[in-house]
Amino acid sequence: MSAYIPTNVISITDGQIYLQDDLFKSGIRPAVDVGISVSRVGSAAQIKAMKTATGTLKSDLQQFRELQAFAAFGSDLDAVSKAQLERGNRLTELLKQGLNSPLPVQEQVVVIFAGTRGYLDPIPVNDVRRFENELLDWFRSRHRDILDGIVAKGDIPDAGAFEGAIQAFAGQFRTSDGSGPEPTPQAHGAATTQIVDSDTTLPEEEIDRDEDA
Amino acid sequence: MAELTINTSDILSAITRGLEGYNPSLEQNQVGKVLEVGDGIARVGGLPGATVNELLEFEDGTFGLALNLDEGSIGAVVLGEVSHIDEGQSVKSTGRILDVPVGDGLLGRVVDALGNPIDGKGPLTNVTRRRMEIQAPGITGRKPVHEPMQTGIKAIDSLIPVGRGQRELIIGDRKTGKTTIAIDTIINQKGLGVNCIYVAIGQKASTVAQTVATLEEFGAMDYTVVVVAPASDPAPFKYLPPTPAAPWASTGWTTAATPAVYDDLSKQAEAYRQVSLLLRRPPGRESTPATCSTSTPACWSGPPSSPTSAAPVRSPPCRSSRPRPVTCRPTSRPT
Repeated sequence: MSAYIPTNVISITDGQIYLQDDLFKSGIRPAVDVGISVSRVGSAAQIKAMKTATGTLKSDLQQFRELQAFAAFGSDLDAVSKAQLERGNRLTELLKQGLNSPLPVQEQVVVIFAGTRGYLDPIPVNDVRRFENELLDWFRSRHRDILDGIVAKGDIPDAGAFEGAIQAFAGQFRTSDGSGPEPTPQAHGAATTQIVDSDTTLPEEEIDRDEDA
Repeated sequence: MAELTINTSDILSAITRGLEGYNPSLEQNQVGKVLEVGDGIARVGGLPGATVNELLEFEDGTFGLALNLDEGSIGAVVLGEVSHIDEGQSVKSTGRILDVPVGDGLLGRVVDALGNPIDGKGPLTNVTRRRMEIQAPGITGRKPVHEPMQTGIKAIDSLIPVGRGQRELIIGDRKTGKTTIAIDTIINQKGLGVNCIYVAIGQKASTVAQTVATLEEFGAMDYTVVVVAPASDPAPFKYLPPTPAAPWASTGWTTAATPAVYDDLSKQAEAYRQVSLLLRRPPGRESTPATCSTSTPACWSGPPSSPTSAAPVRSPPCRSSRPRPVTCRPTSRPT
């Protein structure tokens, strides 16, 4: 890719955000290709809360894309790969954003945290957008102190209360197909995160690919 | 019959009155001659005292910018119409180095490459003038990037975080949302006490008008200055605009980090290449001339944060650039 950027433009910039036409056309907007986009110095400036929330998001998405290409052949996937695919689909959905609607960083932290910690896993993909909006409303109306705390400290002020608030919201969220509150959202979250924990994603070579299928 | 008398004192006072307000002025002006003109470039003879980036005034009042100081002549780009400039006309050196207005009066305004307002809201108020080309601060005077520049876009803030003072290239095929990312970033700076600069180079004037309308709709024009060099402008106007963003972002009037967006850089590079070729300078390669990165160092080298100032001023310019047509899927990742 870098071959397409004139070398002296590379040397005078500290990274590039690469937008892909096919992503744009498949509805992923902003069409940022997170795999080949880089920021060489920016991570030093990222606030701690966002670092915590992001976790292994980048490598998760990278593995998701590799799996996605593989899954396109229609072969059967093992449970781990399936969970990774499901997680990836939701994270991709979560990173979509409307035109001219930037989100303040503290709100980004909330939704990305919910995504990377598996709270979206039990939700159908087409409910992700609604989950995000309602989660933000929930935080804006009930947990303003947490949001303000993130702005003031740059870090999640009370990790327990923060995650508790997300859990409380996920517990009462109703999916549009009518399946009410998950009976034990925590247990469900724990079950899925055991399979594919965001912090300990499996390296690619360990994924069991059934070549004969 | 009245006697005809000559009152000398009357005559004297009349003469004195007539001479009042007359100051013999002897203005010394170096005057040169236009040797050759065309393609927006004028070759000027004479004017041995001219300096680089000095403004030269042509007979019709148009200004030119002295760029090439050769042994026998000066290569100058004409900042305006060349149709009224003819061979043999006189050229005055003004002693002024190219400068731009700087100050809060710029906020909410749309200006051209030289800082002249073009939005029909009258002249700029509350501005001072500063030289356009300024020396970028040295390495020791800067801090490393340590503050986040929140774009408000989830995919970027989480995975490709940009810091204040960073120069991030936004690249992609046409119609993939490059400008949108830049505009959303400007909108997201609302309420942070941050001034923003949006430089539109080589775009259609109607597109820029739309962008300005969007910024206005979201209340972002209150803290933004828009510099426009539309596609219809001559090349010199298209290669200059990123330069004033540097004095704006790095001196005086900005009290907080100022994001500057150059949209898009490939048009600027093309214009610079055109000017370079016409002035017989080596053009460099790949449409971004080698001299491009050295000719506007203050602009490229962005973050002039001084450790002594209470609120270090930084400019993290985001740039849009179009790649050449991508015909195959890239396989290698950038390092």
